[in-house]
Amino acid sequence: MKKTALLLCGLILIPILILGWLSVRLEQNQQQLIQHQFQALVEVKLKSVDGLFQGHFQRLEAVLQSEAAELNQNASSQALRQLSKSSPYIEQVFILDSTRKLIYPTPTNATAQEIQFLQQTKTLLETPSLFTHTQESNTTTQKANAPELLAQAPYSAQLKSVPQTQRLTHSTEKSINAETEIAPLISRRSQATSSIAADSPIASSNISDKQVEQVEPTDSGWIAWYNNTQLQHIYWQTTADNRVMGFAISRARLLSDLINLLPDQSEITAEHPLNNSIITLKNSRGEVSYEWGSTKENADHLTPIKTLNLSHPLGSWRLEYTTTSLSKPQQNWLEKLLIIVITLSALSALGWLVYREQTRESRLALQRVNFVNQVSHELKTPLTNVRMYTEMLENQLDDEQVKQKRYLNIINNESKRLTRLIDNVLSFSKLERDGLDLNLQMATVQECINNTLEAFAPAFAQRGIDPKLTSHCDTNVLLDPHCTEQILNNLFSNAEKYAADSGVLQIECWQEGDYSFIRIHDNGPGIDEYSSRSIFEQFYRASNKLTDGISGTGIGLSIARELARKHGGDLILESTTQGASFLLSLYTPVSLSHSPAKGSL
Amino acid sequence: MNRYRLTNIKHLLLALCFSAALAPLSQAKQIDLQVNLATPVMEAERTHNAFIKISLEAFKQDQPQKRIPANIAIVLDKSGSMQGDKLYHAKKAAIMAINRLSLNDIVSVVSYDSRVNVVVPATKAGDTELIAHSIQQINASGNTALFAGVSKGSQELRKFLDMNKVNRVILLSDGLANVGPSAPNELGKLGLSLAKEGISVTTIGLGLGYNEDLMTQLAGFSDGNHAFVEKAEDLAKVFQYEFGDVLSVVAQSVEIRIKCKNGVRPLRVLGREADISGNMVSTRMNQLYSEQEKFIILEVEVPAQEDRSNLELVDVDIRYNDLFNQRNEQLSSNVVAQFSRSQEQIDEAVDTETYEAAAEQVANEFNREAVEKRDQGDIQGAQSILQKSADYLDNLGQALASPKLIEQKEEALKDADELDDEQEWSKKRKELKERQFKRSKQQSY
Repeated sequence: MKKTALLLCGLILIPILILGWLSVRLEQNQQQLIQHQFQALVEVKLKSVDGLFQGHFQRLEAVLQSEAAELNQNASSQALRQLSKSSPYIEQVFILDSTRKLIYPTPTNATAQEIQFLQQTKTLLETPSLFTHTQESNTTTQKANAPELLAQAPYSAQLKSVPQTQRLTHSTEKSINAETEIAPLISRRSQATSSIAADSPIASSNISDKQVEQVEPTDSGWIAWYNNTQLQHIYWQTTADNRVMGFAISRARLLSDLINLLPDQSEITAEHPLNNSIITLKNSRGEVSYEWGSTKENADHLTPIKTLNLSHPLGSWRLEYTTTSLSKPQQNWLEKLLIIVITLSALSALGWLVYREQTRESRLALQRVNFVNQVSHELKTPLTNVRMYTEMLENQLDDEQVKQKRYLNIINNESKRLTRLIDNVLSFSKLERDGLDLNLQMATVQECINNTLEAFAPAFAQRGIDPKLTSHCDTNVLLDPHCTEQILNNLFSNAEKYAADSGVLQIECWQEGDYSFIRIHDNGPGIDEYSSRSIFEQFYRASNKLTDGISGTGIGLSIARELARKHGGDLILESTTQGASFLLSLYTPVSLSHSPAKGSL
Repeated sequence: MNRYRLTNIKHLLLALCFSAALAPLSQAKQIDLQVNLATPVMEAERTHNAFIKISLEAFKQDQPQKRIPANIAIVLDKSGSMQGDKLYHAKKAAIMAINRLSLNDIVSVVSYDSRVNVVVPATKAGDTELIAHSIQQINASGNTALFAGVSKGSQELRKFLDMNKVNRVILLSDGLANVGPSAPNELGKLGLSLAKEGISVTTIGLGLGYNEDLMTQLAGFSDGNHAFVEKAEDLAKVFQYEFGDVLSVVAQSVEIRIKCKNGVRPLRVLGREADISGNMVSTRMNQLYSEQEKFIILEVEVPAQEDRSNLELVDVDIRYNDLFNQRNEQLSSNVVAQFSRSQEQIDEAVDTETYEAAAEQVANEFNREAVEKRDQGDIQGAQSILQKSADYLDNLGQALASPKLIEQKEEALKDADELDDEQEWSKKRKELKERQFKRSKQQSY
């Protein structure tokens, strides 16, 4: 019963475990997929921010180009100074001549601010290779504080081509100009700046448009350099006479403008895609410059799920995307858990039903066995009486009453057979319950064989079997004669049943040490290979034309073997060329003292 | 709504009629430029260091009902430290101030903690009810993204940026900027850039937690005002002053160019940032207020001259945007020094008022140095600087018989006394910074 329960538990638990594991795997995979998709989305989002910044640099470039165009070829230092004073984007202007020698600002006639600028950018301005796009090898002049200058040169080339790509907006040029001229007091310079301040890409591209037509700068680019670990920017362009005009951009203003390109909190509503996540803009020192988005909880401890380094000239800056929504897939788990629980309960119910059915069946079987036992016991007493009175009647008969004697003989034999059958049934159920005890006594094996043969003599004679006993075991040994006789009964009964008219039935008997052996060899049709494997199994009956029409219970050989094993021996089927040969071995110690342990038998 | 608009149009028409009628009258210059020498007569045959005061004063407006439209962005700190009383008063003060604005004015409100929120995008100051409602919704929490707050505030101004309007960011903060740039110099540069666009930033520091260097630099470079408000209840008052200032602006984008002549060498400009290059000095003020005098003090070295000679020291050239007449104006003036051997003549000629103003700025410079020394932990050094300042003021005060300078001497001595009070230093420093700022910029409140 316990075994069945355990088995059922296993049957229930194993699929549940497999199901659980599979759902965990599925969930993980799904999560990974979602994460991947999400990451891709986030990357697009961050890239769009980067694009915004690039757009700003392009507009700034356009404004600076227009500023440069306003300055005539040999602008006075006064005009240059005025420019850096009036343009909100420019912190300082510098000019290098065709041999890349600094001609403005000159240290001799500079303001304090200009002198400071010259000190900070000394190495920078003395590196002419920075102001061309064909520099590759000259890295030796770089100071340690400007390591990224050369690495980022390719990006400069990228940016350079941009003004030309924005030539599409010719039609709106007039209206925009009209708009910007509303304020007559603003100088032309501040027109340009105000249009970029208004953040209209059309307006500024118009300016770039005009400038592109007027003066085609032969070369230009952005230089990102570090001053005191802070990223600074210089925009430069070469003029027609191969001078370099450079603009140092106000760092604070640049950051302010970049921040103004980014959304503020009022633009982020509950339906906004950025709901429950934040994007952080970090500068080259890893400090937060700006962040936007919203989280339900404090996001300080969260690590960003995506980081994007910005493109040149903001090379060392990065955007970080942090969110809390991905780490909590509770709903999905609940669903899966529910499925598992339902399956578990369904399987458990099923298992319980099976278990109940099974126990009911085994109870019924037990009842049946008990019933058969009782019936067998009840049959034994009348049968004994039948036999007793038959024998008594036989003794009183005269010798002439041959016919009556024969009839009584048949009654006697049949009742003996019935006794054997009942004995078989009883020992079967005893063996099943493991309750058979051997009743050992001193006897000879030969005696047992003779007793049995005597009982079978009429049947053998009738069936045309001629038993021949070769006995070498007439010494007294310790054995259970009843048990031995039962084994022999079964074997002879089989021979009688299946080897009719086979002639000689050889019975050999010998002793080796503490063991006695009995071989019973008939000349019948024998047992085929297939059946020989299962003839000792309970309720097995070899089914072929031979066994057709012969009744049997199918427990005979199985009981015989079990009894032989109980008796410390075995019953095996020997292979022979003709008929069937059974070898019975029994543990039969010569004396009581030789018996190693009665219990082990 | 319809009626509202109608009265609006009426107003406009009225204003148009008025301005048309009064146009010829208001042709006169709005600004009075005065260039004075502290010592108009100098001792001959000796080089001198002389103070020149260049002062600008706007005349009183003849038409009090007419004023320049304002474009104001109020940037409120709503970080965690503002919680409670501070934010309550700040909101109240902002709403009260906005109620003073009229339909022609544009207002926007930006609040910031770790992130920035544009509470009221730039809009006409008509529907004050709605604006007040939006302001009331502000709740305190988080950090202080001051830089981003000012950026967004100025961005709101840019939507209606107009050189003929008074463009101003009013920043209120009670804490250290801890998200984004936080160096005073960086915010100063932002202020400088905004000033170039015609935007001033007024900074109001609330309580004892803010960074006064950052706030004064931001205000200083953009030529706004600065105020230290210790108690939140005083905010309303300061906002009223500030709006009073904003609404009384008469001229903007004032550029001052000074050319030193005849071998005169510029040494320094006291109080304000200025570029000195060779013999040229240039500086700018973002705006001039009605009935307020703004000045700069220039210290020059004058070469030795003969007795009884005259020498033209500097040419002063001023350009500004006259907001009433909406045009650029130009003023110029110069100053001539006399040289004499007579001490009596020299003493008699001293321009007390100019000298007082110059001395005040010199003392202010001393004060600045003293704070710097105190920051380095050199309390005694700071005290000795203040002592020097007091001596200087005392000498000059005695010579000029100026009670104002004597008073300032007492002040310097008191400052020196209070320097070594560790506990009160944070507050004292804020007071000193505020006073320095107000003196050098001649702030009205």
